[in-house]
Amino acid sequence: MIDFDTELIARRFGLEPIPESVVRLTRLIASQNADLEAVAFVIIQDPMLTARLLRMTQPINKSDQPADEAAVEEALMRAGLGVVFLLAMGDLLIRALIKTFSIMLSSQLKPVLPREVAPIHEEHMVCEVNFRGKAAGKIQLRLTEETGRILAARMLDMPVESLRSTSEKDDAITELVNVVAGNFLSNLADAGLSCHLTTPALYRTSEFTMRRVPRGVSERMPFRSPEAKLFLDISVNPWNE
Amino acid sequence: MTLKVLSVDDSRTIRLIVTRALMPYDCVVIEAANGEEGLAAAAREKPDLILLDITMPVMDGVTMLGKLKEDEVLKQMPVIMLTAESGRENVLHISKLGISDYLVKPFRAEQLIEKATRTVPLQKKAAA
Repeated sequence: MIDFDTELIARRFGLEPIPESVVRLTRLIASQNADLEAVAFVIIQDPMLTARLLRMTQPINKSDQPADEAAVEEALMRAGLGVVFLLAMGDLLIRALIKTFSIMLSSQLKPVLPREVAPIHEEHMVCEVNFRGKAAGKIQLRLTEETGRILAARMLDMPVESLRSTSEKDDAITELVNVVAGNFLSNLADAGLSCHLTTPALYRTSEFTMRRVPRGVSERMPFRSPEAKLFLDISVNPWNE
Repeated sequence: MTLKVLSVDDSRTIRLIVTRALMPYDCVVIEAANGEEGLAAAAREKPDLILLDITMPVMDGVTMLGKLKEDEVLKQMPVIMLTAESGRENVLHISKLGISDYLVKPFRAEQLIEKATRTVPLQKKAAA
């Protein structure tokens, strides 16, 4: 429960509020007996939530068509409540990522459609964080070595050519994900979905397939900025099993 | 007067960002990678300001803050918490432990300078 004191302190330290649509969605999920029509009503008010839901549940050619409440309800019926968790958590994660890029890297990162970004075929960097609490799951940021270099140099405010050591690059990307994850955690807590996070683990792989948690629902979200392309994967088991 | 600023963060990247942000100012930055190193550095160097991360290995920032507040000398040192975890309940809890300010990561260098200047008399270096 957020009380008056907490709000005063939040304002004093300049903390941002969570978007109303996501707060309403998380409240509905938390109530355990969420009414499908009520959930659909909240989603249809938010174009980004609607687009993501339809992308996850419909064939590619159909998901671009304008949506009405009936289409959203049908998508929810087909996909189940788990996808609502994924929508709410994914929204909070997207906000954390875009904000972090804007402030730490002065870079305007934008979500793009999956078909607009080519997959990564070579060995690439993956930074992974697991979470557990109201739901269990994992988030992964995937990027090429070159994108990693560009982003790390930007974070450290130095020319890309000056960034020579892999450990410097890895530390910067790990911290970037740590900040995104921390913001995600705060957004979750403020939305009533408190979770704990593991510290970020960075590794390299040629495997581009999304790593899903058991019995989980997943989403891959591609992003672009003028200097980078990257993929953010989220997999959630809403029943925390 | 040259101030001493202690930056306690397990991320080398954040310590580097803090050091660069403070470079134009008349201060020296001392670095520590966790709460244990931070406490030792605080006792040894008597910094004018501590910038303290929360989530760190060995000893986290909240534990270090608690130990600072138990010490008659060290408890006077102003502390700005610097963390990515800004959940309202979390901030409320930490603010009750006696901090001067709270800076949420990601932050801009200007935000760090603004909060530091509000806490200690940080001055720009005189032109050479």
